Amino acid sequence: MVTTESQIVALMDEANPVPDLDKYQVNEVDVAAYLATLERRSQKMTSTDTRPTTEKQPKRSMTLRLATLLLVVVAGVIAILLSQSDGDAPVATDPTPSTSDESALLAAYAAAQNGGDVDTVMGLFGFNYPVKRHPFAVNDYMDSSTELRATEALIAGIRGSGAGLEFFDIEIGDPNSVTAPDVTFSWRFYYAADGTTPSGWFWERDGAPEVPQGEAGCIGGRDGKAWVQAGRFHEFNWGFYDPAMCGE
Amino acid sequence: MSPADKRFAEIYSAHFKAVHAYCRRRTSADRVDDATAEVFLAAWRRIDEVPPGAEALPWLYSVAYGVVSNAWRGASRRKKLDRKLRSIGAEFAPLPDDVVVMRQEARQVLTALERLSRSDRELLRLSIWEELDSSSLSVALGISKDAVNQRLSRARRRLAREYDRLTTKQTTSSVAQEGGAW
Repeated sequence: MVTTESQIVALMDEANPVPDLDKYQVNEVDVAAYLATLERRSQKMTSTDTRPTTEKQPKRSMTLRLATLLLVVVAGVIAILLSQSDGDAPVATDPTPSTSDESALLAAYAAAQNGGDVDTVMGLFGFNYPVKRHPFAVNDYMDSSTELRATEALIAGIRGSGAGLEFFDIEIGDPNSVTAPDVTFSWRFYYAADGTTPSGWFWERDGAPEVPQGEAGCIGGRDGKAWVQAGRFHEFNWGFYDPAMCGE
Repeated sequence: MSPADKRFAEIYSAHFKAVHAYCRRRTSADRVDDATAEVFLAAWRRIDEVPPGAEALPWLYSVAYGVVSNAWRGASRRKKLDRKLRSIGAEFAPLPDDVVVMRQEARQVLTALERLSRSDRELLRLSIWEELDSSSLSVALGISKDAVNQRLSRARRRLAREYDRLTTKQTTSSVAQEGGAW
């Protein structure tokens, strides 16, 4: 049997979860109240009061505290690199990471791997699934041209494994930017099976490497260079570069 | 109320239901309200970018697509994490497609739809479910009307082909099972 275009359209029309908009029941909308909500939300998002503080954070294990601290170190490293990346980004001649970068990453990874409270970050920035939570301000390493601000983003570290490698994701969500693919993005640090050797890192989306808009080449980049999508970051040079991951 | 807020109020009142339905068609019931709120939050923040007149709704759909896509990506990651973290009982609500009661043929067409590319799926949904014409599709997808028409025709054919493959395979399987009973 060969289904015609008109038949398939009719079938798909039948499968419409909301077939008749006129009969679709939604709650009454009070625009004025919604506008007031938006104003409140906007103010909340720009208030420094939402910045996590020691007093506000839940009691956490030493391991998680260590993981958080080390991720801050990682963020600091990124901050330094970003601050150096204004204008023409320098091209790294040696993709080998420095000892301190590697140590910080490995320590962060190990800390996250070995403990910490499995927590659920509900809703606020779209991370409504269990993660190992490391909430801290991210503006320290965000360039001023980005839309991310300290009180509007959250970093979540997620550990997992795949393809024989352990990985550690760092995700950043921006609730102010709801146009995909800007909302959430992640770095994925891969480690060899022995958990000691960083083997590379690159962008992923839906579990697949992806070339950021406006750039060509492999993710993770040549010369240890990485790019961030949609111009939200400047180019920066950092990370562990594995030629094999770029098919070289 | 400022002129911007007044315009937003008009857009909100006129299109809330349509945007809510858009989100309902693509995500689970428990996420529809949040997704809709995100769409209008974007409209409120970017009110100067919202096109006038009939193009406002397709513009909202394009934003909604981003919101829902992000939810899909999140859901994809959640599924992977769920396997890792099942011990803490993470469970996620099914998509509406999973729960809607419909004829077998309609369910199969949704299965066939999932085999298409994301852009084809969205094009077909916007065309058939949201009933957008080529002009509105052009706004929503950011492509020319000619491109819309070409892609739409191709997407329909692909969907029909996938549907035929699916139904043929199931028919064959059914016959084989019946034969096995003998």
